[in-house]
Amino acid sequence: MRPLLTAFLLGAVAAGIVAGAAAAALVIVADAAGWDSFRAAAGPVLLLAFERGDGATRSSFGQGLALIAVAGGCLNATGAWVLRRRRDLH
Amino acid sequence: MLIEPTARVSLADGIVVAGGSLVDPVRARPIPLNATGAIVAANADGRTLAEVAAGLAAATGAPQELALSDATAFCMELNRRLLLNVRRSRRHALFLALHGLRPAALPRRGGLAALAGPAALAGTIGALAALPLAVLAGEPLLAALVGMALAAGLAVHEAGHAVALRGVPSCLAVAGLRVAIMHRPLPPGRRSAVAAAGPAAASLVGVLLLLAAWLFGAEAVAVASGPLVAQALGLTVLGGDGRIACGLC
Repeated sequence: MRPLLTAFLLGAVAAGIVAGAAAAALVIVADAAGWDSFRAAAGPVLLLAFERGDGATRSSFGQGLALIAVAGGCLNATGAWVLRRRRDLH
Repeated sequence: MLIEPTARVSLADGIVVAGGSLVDPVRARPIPLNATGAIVAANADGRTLAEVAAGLAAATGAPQELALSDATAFCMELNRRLLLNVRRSRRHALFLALHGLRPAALPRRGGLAALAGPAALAGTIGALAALPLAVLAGEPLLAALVGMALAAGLAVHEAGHAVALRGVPSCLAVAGLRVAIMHRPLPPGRRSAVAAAGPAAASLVGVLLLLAAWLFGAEAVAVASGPLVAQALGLTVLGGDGRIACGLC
């Protein structure tokens, strides 16, 4: 059980860092390059919103990033379970 | 023949011949040598393989050809076990290159300085790969930044492992672009921590770089931090370090 929990935590951290950094990099580029307002979402789940107003910009990160982290953790735990099972069979 | 007679062979740093055995500070047990092996190992101090074979022939009375064959086989085995480094002659490399041949990369053992070659190679490949996109985006400097981030990522990754291994005899092994750290056996918890330290260190530096890019509004730096941040994926079962960290190997 412990290896699967470790795999879940490491997968969640990895996916969270990558998703958060990608969103942050997008905001930095959008701000510097003068992009118009945009919203990145998967259906009702917001990932990132960037708004450009009168001489100011505003960005917000949605709960979608947390969901990506959880999904990454689940995927990694599943991968670890498959690899462990394959190793035990051999 | 994988090692040519003009190649220079030397025992890797820290390896000594003592009491008829090879003593490696990273391995717990000495490696026993037979008489031939002891002569070859004693002569592997930067001489060419041909000179080592001549020394073996003189000491044993064996024909020169047989001595060269034995010395080559033994040196190849020691190199495979990361006990001996081989330095190929530039002239031989040039000769092969002129004939369109590229010899297989031989493993080389050393300290963190051994990373210079792979880091430079990774950086150059990364910069060249990013160049078309950077030119399209009107930011040619971005390609150089991505290359530097890749090179730095490799160095920081291995430095992360090295810091987590403090107090444990260890060494770096490099073969082409492949880099690995060899160390004494560790308890499972420490082993997982050492494996995770490499990707974690590189991704942490990437996040700090991203923070700096946000503070100074440097969009090229934000994009270039990508290769460093992406090393976080090395914590998952997609990579060898992640598999060890998850207790799978």
